[in-house]
Amino acid sequence: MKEKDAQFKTERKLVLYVEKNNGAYRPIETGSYMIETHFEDFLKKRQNLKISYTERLKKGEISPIEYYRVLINISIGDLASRIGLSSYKVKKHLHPENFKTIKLEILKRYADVFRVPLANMFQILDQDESNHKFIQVKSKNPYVVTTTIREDINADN
Amino acid sequence: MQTTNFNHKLAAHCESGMVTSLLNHSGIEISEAMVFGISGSIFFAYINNPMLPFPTIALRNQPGKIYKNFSKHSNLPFIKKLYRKPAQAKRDLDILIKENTPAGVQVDFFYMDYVPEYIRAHFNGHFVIVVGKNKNKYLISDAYTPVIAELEQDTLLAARFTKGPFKPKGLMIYRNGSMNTIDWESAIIKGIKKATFNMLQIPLPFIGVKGIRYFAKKLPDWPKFARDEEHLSDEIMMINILLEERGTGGGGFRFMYAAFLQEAAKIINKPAFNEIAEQMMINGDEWRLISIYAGKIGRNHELGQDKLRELGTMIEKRAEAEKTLFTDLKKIIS
Repeated sequence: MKEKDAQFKTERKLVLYVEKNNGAYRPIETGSYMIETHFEDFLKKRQNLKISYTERLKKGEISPIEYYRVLINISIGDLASRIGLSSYKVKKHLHPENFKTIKLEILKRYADVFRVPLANMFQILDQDESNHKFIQVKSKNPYVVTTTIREDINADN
Repeated sequence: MQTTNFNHKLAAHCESGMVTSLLNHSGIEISEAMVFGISGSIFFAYINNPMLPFPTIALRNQPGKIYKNFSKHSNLPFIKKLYRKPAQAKRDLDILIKENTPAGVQVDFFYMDYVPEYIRAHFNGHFVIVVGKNKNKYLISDAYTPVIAELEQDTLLAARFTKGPFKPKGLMIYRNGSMNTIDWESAIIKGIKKATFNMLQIPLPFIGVKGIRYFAKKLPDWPKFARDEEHLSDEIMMINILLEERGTGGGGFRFMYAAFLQEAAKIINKPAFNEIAEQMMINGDEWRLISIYAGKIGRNHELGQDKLRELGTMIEKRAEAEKTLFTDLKKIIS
């Protein structure tokens, strides 16, 4: 790739190896082709997935385990390995009728892998379009989080 | 605040970037391309197993092999520590920082809170360098970010002790100041031997040149693994991300490998490497065309069997090209 063909203007930077004018192969810092051309599509897909799976969660078609598992794109095998259960057991937990059988300690392990507060396994934080956002702050009690709504001072007016 | 006066810079790839930066910091002048080449880490594998949410490809060998093989081939040692107890891992890291010694650590990328959320994924094979501490936050030199970042100490500790595939086990590596001289010819030849072995001689159908053919053959099966068309579209576009965006230096590491061969040609006076370097660069351009095509058909939802087979045909040609490239490279060093 010639250096002149590797000029992408995005905020996110990465290093590409290119052929310089003198024929030398060297690294340059440039933007991301993917972000320059496909970022909106990428974000739209993520948003569509979240909307569709939130609806399925509300309708009782999936458990919160399956909800977060799909959103963070982790396989059943990987998830099972991280929380110390068999894949068979994790598969059962993906179904809403089995969600209620999960022990609190195991549910906390799931929440930790998903990096959400345990409380978020029982609620959906419904972000509306106002200039407010949810702030969740851990407490010394690992099972308890404080959720507040604050004005987002960085949001566009 | 404690810092180690570390010269942070972006790198093409996290592990090779980490090794290069640690060596540069300890006074050894070496490029990232050289580190990558000497470690013999150029690779290909088509992977479809229950530990992954979808079939994928690997373009370098497994995490941890760059520093290990580089160290072995170059005779430049790192001190490596693994831990059972997180508290001990944290204590030893804090001691190193107090002693102005930057330390490379293996982490789960999902915990790197300084990168945008949409990029983060559970992947235990990420490497960063801890270069200082500011109260309860570590200062992190991450090859993928333009400036030194901050990360809560509890978050870093959690990232170092996740479970799952390639779990980090608290891995920490650092230089102890011992300088060895590199026998460049020996190191380069060993690295190339490793690379040609990986690409030509591993007797598994999904690895090396055989793995590239396997990928081409399996691609038309991808629709049956997807939830729906949108998911398939996402995964086809992921081919672009894997080849170009997830820290490869472009062309699935092939551009960086071309740079290594060009540099090696000069250092050990082997002009024959220059021709392979040129061909490797062209090979990288073709991989880039594959990634652009994948991005296009993914975005446009052109996901019928005809398009997937067309993409497969483009990939199959890379198998032929790389068989020739690595065979010729093997002949030069034998």
